Amino acid sequence: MKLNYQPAIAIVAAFLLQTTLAPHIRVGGVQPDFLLIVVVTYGFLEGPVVGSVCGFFAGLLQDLLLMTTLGLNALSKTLVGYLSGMVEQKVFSENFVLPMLAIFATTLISESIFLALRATLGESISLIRASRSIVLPAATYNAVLAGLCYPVLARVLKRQTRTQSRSGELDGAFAPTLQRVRKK
Amino acid sequence: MYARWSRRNRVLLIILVVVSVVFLSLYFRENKQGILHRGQSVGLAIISPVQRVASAVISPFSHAWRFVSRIGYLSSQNVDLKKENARLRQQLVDRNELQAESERLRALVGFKQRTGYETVAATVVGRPPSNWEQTVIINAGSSQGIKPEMPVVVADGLVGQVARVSPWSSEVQLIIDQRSGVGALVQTTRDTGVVDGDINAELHLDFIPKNSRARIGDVVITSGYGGVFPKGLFVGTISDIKEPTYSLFKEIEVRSEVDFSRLEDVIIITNPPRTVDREPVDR
Repeated sequence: MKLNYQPAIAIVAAFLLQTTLAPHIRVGGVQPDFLLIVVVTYGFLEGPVVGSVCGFFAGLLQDLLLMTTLGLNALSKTLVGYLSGMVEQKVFSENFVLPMLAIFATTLISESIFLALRATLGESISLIRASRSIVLPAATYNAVLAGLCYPVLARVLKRQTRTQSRSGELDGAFAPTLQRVRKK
Repeated sequence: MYARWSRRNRVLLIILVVVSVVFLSLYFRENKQGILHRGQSVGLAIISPVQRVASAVISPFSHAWRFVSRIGYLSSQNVDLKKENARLRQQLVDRNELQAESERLRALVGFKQRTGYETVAATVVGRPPSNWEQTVIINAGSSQGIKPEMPVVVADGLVGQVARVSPWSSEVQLIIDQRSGVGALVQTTRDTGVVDGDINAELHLDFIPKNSRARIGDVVITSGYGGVFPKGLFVGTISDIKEPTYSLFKEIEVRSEVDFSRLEDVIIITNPPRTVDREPVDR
């Protein structure tokens, strides 16, 4: 079984975008969560195992390098990655509305878990205010960004499918997805 | 779908969650010098230069993005600021107006306190429709006790006398009107004469003999002759003196300190002392 580095590369790329680009494209005080989008995407594509592993390492990287409480993002993104993997894989399609809704929902879940964990650790947080000023705007922003990204991702994946099917490389972490896309 | 809930998946999830919770627990248990905190510090040291470079590259685009994303907000803010600016400008105008009015009224009150006359304050509400008359309309009339021939003054000096009266307003004949005449004297030399107006709205002091020692700059006040104006009201200062050969008297020009074109608030003296027998003032 060949080891696939693509999720790792995607997570590092998303992390670089998160640390460099995201702070500069704030809208209404919130910035997009590129790492979350990547984690959820892999969850949709590859199921709960890949989703949760991606979520764990993406969150851990975020915690380590962004000075947040170590384990907070790792835990919340692990759960979201797993949950997104549980969703029917029909979500991933060229129809960008479903992925948008899915990203919106998963962002709500992720941010809620994050909020709940922080509250559990003793931080005084107004849930209503946090929801209004951070959670909902962030979910909307991520959903819009996902709507813009998904058509591009779908095309890339189709091209990759054709290339790999010709060379017979259908094993690895993306094998189920590639087989599914090829069937279409 | 059902296969996704396999035992393997659940075990993996539990392991990852437990590891995360262990990280959380260790992080809170250790002090700032602990291995996890130091790991974060190393991470920060690694990521900072990347962020700095990225920030330098992205900043121009970021500024452009911020500009575009704030256009709507800036537009509405611009409208709000314009409204606020208009409101503040009006407030400033009102405030300046109040201040000017306050200064005028303070001067008028000062005049009343200095002289001890009974007075009625009034505001100029109208100008004559003709170029030939130097009069103003004030908003005080017989209902306020105003009567014809009552002297009208401001803090800068004599203005004129009440010419006509109605219940709520009066017409004041200014001393610069060509039909006006005011018994006056030169304060230093005590030479008496009559200050009258002319068609150019200038003041002249007539009937001052050629042997008078009146000089430019001397103060001219009311003499009290004629019974209309009480003695001692400031009329003006001598601005020019001529001695025509064909006349027995000097030709003296008097400059009033009153700006007759900008009269706003005036005082009517309602109890002028009648120390001298009346003489007709209008000629």
